[in-house]
Parts: sequence; C-alpha cells; structure tokens
Amino acid sequence: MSFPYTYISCPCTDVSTPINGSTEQNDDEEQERTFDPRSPRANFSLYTLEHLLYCEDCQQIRCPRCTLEEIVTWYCPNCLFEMPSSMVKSEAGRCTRNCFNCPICIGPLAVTSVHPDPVQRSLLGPWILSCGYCNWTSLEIGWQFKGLQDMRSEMGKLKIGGQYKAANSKTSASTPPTESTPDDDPDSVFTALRSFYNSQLSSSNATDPLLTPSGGINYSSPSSLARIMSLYTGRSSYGKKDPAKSTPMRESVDPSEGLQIFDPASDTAAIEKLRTQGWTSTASTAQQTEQKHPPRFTSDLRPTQAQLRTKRSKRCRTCRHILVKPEAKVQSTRFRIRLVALNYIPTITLKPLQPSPSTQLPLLDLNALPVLRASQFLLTLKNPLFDPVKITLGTPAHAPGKNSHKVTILCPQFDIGPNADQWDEALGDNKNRRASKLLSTSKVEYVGGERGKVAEAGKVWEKGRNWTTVVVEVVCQDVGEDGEGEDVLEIPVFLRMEWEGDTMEREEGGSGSGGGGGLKGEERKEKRELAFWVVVGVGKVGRLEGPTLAASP
Amino acid sequence: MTARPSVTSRISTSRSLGPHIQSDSTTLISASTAFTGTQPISLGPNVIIQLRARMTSAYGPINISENCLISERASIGLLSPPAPTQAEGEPTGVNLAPGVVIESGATVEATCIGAYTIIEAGAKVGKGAAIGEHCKVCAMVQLGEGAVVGDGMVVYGSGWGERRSEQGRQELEGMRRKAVTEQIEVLRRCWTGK
Amino acid sequence: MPPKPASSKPKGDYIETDTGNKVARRSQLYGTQNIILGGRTTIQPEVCIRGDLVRAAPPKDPKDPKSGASANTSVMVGRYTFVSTGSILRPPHRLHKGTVSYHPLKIGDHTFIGERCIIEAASIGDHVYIGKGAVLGKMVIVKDWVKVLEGAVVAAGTVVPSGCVVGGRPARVVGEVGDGWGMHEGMEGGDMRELWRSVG
Repeated sequence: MSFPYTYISCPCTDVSTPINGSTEQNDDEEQERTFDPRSPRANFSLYTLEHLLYCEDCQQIRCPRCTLEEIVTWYCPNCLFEMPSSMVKSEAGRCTRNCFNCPICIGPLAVTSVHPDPVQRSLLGPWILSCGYCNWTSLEIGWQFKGLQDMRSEMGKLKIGGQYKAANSKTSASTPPTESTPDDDPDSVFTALRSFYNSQLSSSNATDPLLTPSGGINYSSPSSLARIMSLYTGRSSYGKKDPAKSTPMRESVDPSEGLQIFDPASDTAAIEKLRTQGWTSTASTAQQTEQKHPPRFTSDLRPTQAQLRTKRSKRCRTCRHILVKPEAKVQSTRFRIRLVALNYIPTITLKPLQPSPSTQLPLLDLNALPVLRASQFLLTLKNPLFDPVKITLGTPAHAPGKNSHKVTILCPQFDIGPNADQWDEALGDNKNRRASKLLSTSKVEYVGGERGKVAEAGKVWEKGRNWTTVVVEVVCQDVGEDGEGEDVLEIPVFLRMEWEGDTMEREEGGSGSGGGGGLKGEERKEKRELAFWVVVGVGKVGRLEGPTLAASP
Repeated sequence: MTARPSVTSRISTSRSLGPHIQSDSTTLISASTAFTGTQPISLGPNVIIQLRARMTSAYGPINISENCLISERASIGLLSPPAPTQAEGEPTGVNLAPGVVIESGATVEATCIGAYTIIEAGAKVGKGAAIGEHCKVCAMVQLGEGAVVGDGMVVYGSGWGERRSEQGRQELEGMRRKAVTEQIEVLRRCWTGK
Repeated sequence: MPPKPASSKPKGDYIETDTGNKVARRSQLYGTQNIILGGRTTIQPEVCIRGDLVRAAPPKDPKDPKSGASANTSVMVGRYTFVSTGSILRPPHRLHKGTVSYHPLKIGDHTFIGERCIIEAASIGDHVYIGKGAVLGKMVIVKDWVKVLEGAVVAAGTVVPSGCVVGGRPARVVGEVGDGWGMHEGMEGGDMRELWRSVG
C-alpha cells in the first residue's frame, strides 16, 4: 500500500444511523463514539471515493453494500462479444466461442496452426491451443483440432491424451463389457450415471411429484408444485397407486451404466507418479478450482472456457432508485445514469508539510515517520458542489491502536468555496492556474516556504476557489518491534458538511451524470448536511534512531 | 535523439580502454550500446544488439553465439565478481548459445544459456546460473545465483518463479526457431534497409 | 492517491512542442518520424520509444530506407497521456504467414504509465492507469478504464476488458474499478491535465 491514502466509511454500516439518512436525532450519540479503522468490521465499510455512489433521494452516500445490482449485459472478457441472457444459463456462464484459458497459468489461450508449411499456417489446420505466457499447448494433452468452427464441442469429445471418448452409451451397451474399454472420463461417467438413475427413478416411481417427465428433478416448476399440492390435499389417491406400481430400484452394475470400480492400480500409479515427478506435477488448488473435475496432476488439466463478465446497473437499497446505469453495449464506457459520490462529497488529499530547511530536520518520509516529534501534514478538501460548503472535522485526540499517536487538526472548522464551471477555470486568471498547480502532489511544501507561512491553530493554511487546506499535526509514539501493521498510522476523521442546496423537487429523469449541478428554475435553497467517517492513512511510523533523537523533545 | 539508430559493424573497438570485441561482418550493434570492462567480448554472426544494451565484461568474458537477439536496455555480463569457489576448466563469464533472445530490460549474469532459450522482458538471471535449451524465463522472473534450469523448462510467476517442463514441445521447436530468425531478419531489414 | 511523477525537474529538461507535448531531453525516442504524440502528452526522462520498429514494408529504394517506412506510424500516444521515467514503449511483433511483422502501438488519452514499465501492447485505451514496473506483453489489448496493478505481467495476447483491475503474474482480473473512475482530476485514471501542467 502506498501512502497516503484516503478511505471513506459508508454510513450504512453504522447500525445506529437510520438508513433513510436523517442523522439529526442521534448526533449526540454519534459524537461519543469514534470510528476505529483497526476493528475487523472496518474492513467491510471502507471504500475509496470512486467506489461510492450518492443517492439524491435519500441524500446519503451509497456503497456496494447498500446498493442492489442488476445485470445489464453478459459478455466474454476475451472476445468482448455479448451473450444473450437467455443463453447464459444453458452455457453455464461461459463463452461459446474459441475463448479458452490456460489450465496452468489461467492466461488466455491462442489458437495456432501447426501446419508444416509456415505460409499456409494462417489458413490450414490442424490447430492447437497455446498459451503465450507459460508455453502450455494442447499438444501436452495430445489435443489437435481439425477445424476452428466447433472447437468447443470437439473438446467435449476428447479425452486427455487425444483419444476420442466412446461415441455414446448405445454402442458400448451392445458390445460385451469385456471388450469395451471402461470410459473413465468424469463427464461421461456422470452422464451415464445420470441417465441410468433417471430411468430407474421414472420406472420405479412414476408418480414422484418432484419428477419431471424428462426425468430430472425440478422443485420450482408450476406443474411439480401442483403435484406436491395434490399430494397434500388428495393424498389418498396417490398413496393407493404407489405400492402397486413401484418396483425396487437397483444400482448401476456395469460401466455403461456409469459404474466405476475402484482400481487399486490407479493408486499405485499415482504414488509412483508422485515419486518420479514430484511436487511440480501436482495441480495447485488454484488450478483445480478452475476445473470442472479437479484432477490430481497437472497432466490431467484441461483448458477451460472463458467465464463471462457482466455490466451491471445499481439501485439504492432503500429507495430503489437507479444510481448507476451503464450503456448496454459491451464496448461503450458511457453511462445513462451515474450518480457517484465524487460529485457530492469533497475529495480529501493529504501530503506532508516538510519542515523548514532552516531547522535542518530531515524531510518527512511517509514510510518512516519521525517518532516523538511533531510532524505536520496538509489536508486538502476540494468541493465538487456548486454551493459553498461548511466543513467541520473531528478526530480523536489519539489515533486508535495500541500506540496512541497524538493527532491534532489545527483548524477543524472552515468553509470551502463553490465549484465553478469548467469555463471559469479555462478562462481563469493566474491565481487559478497557480491554485491548480498547488494541488498537484508533485510540489513539495515547506514550513515558512512561501511568504514565511507557519501553521497556526484555528487558521486555514491556504484557500482556493473550491478547496481549502488545513494543517494536521501528528506526534507519533515509539511503536517498538510490534507485530505487522502496528506501525501504520491511520487517522480516523469525522467529516461533517453543511450546505444550502437546491431542493430536489423535480423529476428523476433529469439527473444524469451531471450530478447536482446546473439546475435552472426556481432557486429554492434548502439546508443540507452529510456526515461520515474518513480514514486517512498517513504512513508508517519509523524506528527510534538512537538516544539523540529521543532526547531532543 | 536520432532519427534511426546508427548502426556500426565493427571488428574491434577504437577505444583503447574498452573491451576487445570480436565480431562478424553480419553482426549488428547499435551505436548506443555501452561496452564496459576489459575482458574479451565475442559476438557471433547474425547477432543483433539493440539500443542502449549494456555489455559488461569487467568480471568475466562475454561470448554470444550466432543468431542471438539482445533487446534494448538488456544487461549482459557479470555485474559483480564471480564466486571464488569456481573449479578450473568450468566456463566463466556469460555464454549465450545460438538463437537466444534476451528481451527488453532483462539482466543476464548466467554462466550459460542454452540454444533458443528466451529471457523475457525485465527478467533477471543471477550469477552462475545455467539455463538449458529451449527454455523460457517469463517476464519479471528473478532467478537467483546458481539456479539450474533444465532443457525445455518454463519459469513463470513471481519471484523465483514456478517451473514446469514443457511436454510435446518438439513439434513446435521448428516454429519457434523460425520466429527468432525471422525476427532478426526483420530487424536487420529495418535497420540496414537490406 | 494521485499518480506521482518521479520528481519535478527544473525548466529546460523538457522540450515543449507546438501542440503542447512535453518531451524530456533525456528521453530516448527512436524513429521519431513514426511516432505521433497526441498533444499535451508528457514523456519523462529515460523513456524509450522504439518508433523505428515499423511494419515491415518492402523498402522501395535501398539507398533511402525511409521511403518505404515513413508512411507508417509505429507508436501513437494520446492527449494528456503521461509516460513515466524509465518506461519502454515498443511496438509488438508477431509471426504471421511465416514472417515477423511489427504492429503499431496505440495509447489513448489521459492514460498514466508508471515508472519502469515495459509496454509491448497493441492498444491501450483511455483513462488507463498502469502501475509501476508492469509489463504488458506482445499484442495485449487494454480497453478503456483499466487499472493495471504494480508489477503485473499481462501475458501476450491478453484482452483486458474495460472497467477491470488486473494484477499478478500472469495478470488476471482481480477486481473492478469504481463507478467514479476517470471522472476526477488527480485520481488514478482521472483527468491528467493537472499533471501535464505540473511538468517542466
């Protein structure tokens, strides 16, 4: 993790806050408690600003936990083709084109020709799948494809090693079991077992209410529901028929019915393989999870079809209004509706305020913050709203954690100016240009650097058109040789913003990605407020270097 | 900034302090290649050394066989003194077999690299390592000092990397060999116009 | 977490072109006639752009090899795109019909390329953030609004769909960017005008 960072805690995780967003009645309680970024719960409520949405109707921040998602489009991440949602279920959410992933490294596989003549290679087969990263090719499992058209179904018929699976159960049933080679492919074993037991079920128990005519078990179809209902209501009629017709079920007895007899030789072979080829020949957990039938060895891994991805729209969980709606086209990155928190709450950035060069103190290093000495940081809040905002910041005097680092925000109450139009900035005077330069992180600032400025309590450090910078002072304690993560300094800051916004008495349709800005018509102002916790990750606390530094404060 | 890399094909360096470079008339060396050290560097026929590659022969000779391709910013040669416990008669320095491809930004200190092995972008191969033929060291993999990689192995993943030996590669070897020679051919055409 | 340039150099280290491209004097641009910078593009020091690797066109005049190649562009970098120190941009090549041919490398607008990246992609979209030390293999296609994590190795031929976060070696999709991606100045994938202004 690179410092500094800012996370925002979505108010939805706070159970004391009513989800409809009126925070007024429990302000007192809220001020009593402080947010602890180290608590295990915090992991689930902290988001970066760009991941947060804002519901204009609830006037509240919305995070992935308090929104509902709806799938707009299914598409393959490899070929970027859309798949109609009607097909998704039958294809098990996988791409039906020639998009395969490497069984070894899960990278994408390319289709290449191994035709002996290099000039003909782009036109003629046989084709293989090859991984551009780990050099795996389908030749390793003996697979070559005749055509490009239906590689997927051809793959379904192939066994590891390149032989074709036994064509179907009919032929193997007609031949004597001694001659037919037992098909150990998991897929065909499963289909054999399934068809056998389906036939058993339907013959033995034709009136099972849950059995569909095709032989599958279906709990959700209306007809089976009706049969269940009739089972309860008119039980007697079903009960009488049953014993007469039912014949006892038998188990599968030969390979054509899916019977697989455990062969001790396979175990010895596996042990032998382990002994000769070692650890590297075994499939890792990550590799196994990608497979339909997790095998033991890497040599039995098959290429997998690419899994589809989705584009989703998001709704507020409370009021069900749509917050985000992307365009359905796969290639498009546009949104029909996009209400992101970026347009409503200030962006918060932190950067070190370096000590004045005259003091000869070393520059602040965010990966080794000085111990037992005050270090200062500039906290800049930038207002995206078109109205001026009043900000109140609060922070616990000691940062949470075992080592109570002292934290002070020198100016906890201030105003931020309104965000102006883009044109203002483009045509803006020098001050604006300079202002934007100041915000850039590349510039190093010193105490007393410009016009001899020194941080003072109760005074804003610097102010621009729509941003304000205040100073945060931190005195770190010695963390010693504590466990992992103990040396990270994170400051929880409670941010409360108040502004007078336009009333939202208008139809939903107009609220595009433009956000709250640019409203025309009757200017009726309404007082608004929003409050949430922010966690600012400052840096890592350094080690106490020798007695000289320890003695200096 | 030059419009195109000026290419020199030289038999020996004119600088008196540089290493002795032995090369063929078909060797292409970018003018921005940095040669340092004092021990001999021999470059076989059809070797192409691209822009800003570094050839360091301060701690051992460099021996590059024919049809090797060294990409930009690659570093060939030992960067620190070799391990003292080296037996007599063992190869020293860095030796590349024919058809080795070193991609951009790779650092090669290996004692020997087998024929048609590819060291991908940003990979590091430590001192004294021995890499077999037809291997692939994937991008950003760092092979430590003295690592031994057998023939036809692929080293991938992060850090020291995971290894796997490639089965059934024989059928593809011809194709891969062709890819290397074609690449050299195209680069040659691109640079010299012939 | 805004992208950080390595260091702000005093004036004079960059050449500013008519269209506002800021190209470091200490960058290594080869085959400049084949490189198109979209305007207000920043190229930091030590960046290497291999514009000389153009699609192999049969040279018409062996004495003037430029005649065959100059019609081609090999590297296109978009507006406000920022290429950090030490990165290498290299057009990818592939073996096709028995010959190796180079393909142009296209990079979109407002894209940030971190320090010491090695890019051999075929195309990179707009508002893409590439963390430092990442390697994009040959013929990779990165769509718009993508974040490539630090040190990722995107395997050759991978397609990264828009809105994804990829990482690891080889890189796979590990997450999705937020809905606010690309909207704000100074954030990853966001508006890069300010960064361009701060240079030089």
